[in-house]
Amino acid sequence: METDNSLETTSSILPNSSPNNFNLVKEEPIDSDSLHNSSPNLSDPIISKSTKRKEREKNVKSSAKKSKNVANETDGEELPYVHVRARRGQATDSHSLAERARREKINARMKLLQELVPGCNKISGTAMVLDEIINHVQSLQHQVEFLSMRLAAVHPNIDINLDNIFSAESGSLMECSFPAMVSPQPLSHQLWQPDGLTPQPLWGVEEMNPNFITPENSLLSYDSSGNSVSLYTNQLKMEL
Amino acid sequence: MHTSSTLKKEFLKKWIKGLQICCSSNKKMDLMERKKKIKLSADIAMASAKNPATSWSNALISEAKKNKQDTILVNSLLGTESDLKPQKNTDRIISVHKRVQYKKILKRSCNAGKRMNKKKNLVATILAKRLVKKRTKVLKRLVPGGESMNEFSLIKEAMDYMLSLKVQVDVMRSVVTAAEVLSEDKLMKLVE
Repeated sequence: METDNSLETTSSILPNSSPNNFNLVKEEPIDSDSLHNSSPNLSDPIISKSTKRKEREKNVKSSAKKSKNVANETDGEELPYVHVRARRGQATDSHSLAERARREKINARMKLLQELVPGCNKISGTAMVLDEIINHVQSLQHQVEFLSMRLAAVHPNIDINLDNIFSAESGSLMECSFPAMVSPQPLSHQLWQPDGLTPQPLWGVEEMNPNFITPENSLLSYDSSGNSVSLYTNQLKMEL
Repeated sequence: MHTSSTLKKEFLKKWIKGLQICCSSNKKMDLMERKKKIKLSADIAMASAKNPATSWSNALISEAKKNKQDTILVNSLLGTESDLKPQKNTDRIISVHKRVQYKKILKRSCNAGKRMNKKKNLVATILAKRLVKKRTKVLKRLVPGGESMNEFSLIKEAMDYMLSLKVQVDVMRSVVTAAEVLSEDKLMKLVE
């Protein structure tokens, strides 16, 4: 068989008595992941959708014609057993059924991936979609490289401007309306001890409450050129 | 998204912490070194912000630990809890490899006498499968820790990795633009 199916650790197949009826395909329970989209619930709606579609399309009675169902025996785990049925005209081998189940799972996830990558929805075909995904990941990685290069080039010494960055950054983060900013108080204490650059206490870190709208006014006093910093952070506000 | 903003904050905090650590140690660094340190601290901050959940983050961290120069930075950034996890990961990788090989052998012996199901468009399907295989190989190289995963979890990891890369890029971009604006103005002030 094709070797692309060989890297499979999840499915082991229990042959059943009657080959014409559905076979039980046992799958290891999928680890719960922390994916922020609803992928644990993903397979259920997609599989039920495909069930409805198949039932609508093919109403012809034949012994080999079946549709795919999600097992009702799940005990809170995702899909320990998947009842896979053969479609009309396809082989009812246990192996090929398992492969078909696996392929459908993979296709469902590929659709999710397609939604993530911009501009991928219109492309059909696994190879092209994978191409787009690879390009996107590569471009993101390159962007990280370039950005870190830019940051390194900005200042001869990362120390000095760190506080500037942080204050401006917190300003811009406010603009993006983050729900509740955790006050970075321990960070500020760490910062000031090794540097000893400006002995003044920091930018009103203690004042970083969820309610603040213009913290920049309090952030500014630490720098020697205090007025200029206020101008810049206001600029940032407008830019971002 | 709610979770992405919390992720951004986590990442930012950890990244800044990492930058502080690496700056406080060494005063003189040329451009490339600095860039590497920045990128490293960014990557590790990202990975540790998502640490318990995903395998690519563990792979990143274990890779970084192998490089002896950076272990100080990594360890101080992560604390002591991370010592256990890379070992578990490598054990898992080894056992996965063995299982995969075993299954390969088993499948080949089972399928030795089977007939081909699809007789139509044999060439086309073979070509398509080859393309897909090539691309999955490339993807495996791109995603950290992707070498030892089956296709199914590879896709999941790739999704996760993409999301966190996006977050990383966003945060880094805003920090960098802020820094650039500030330094520009400082220079102008000096000139005046």
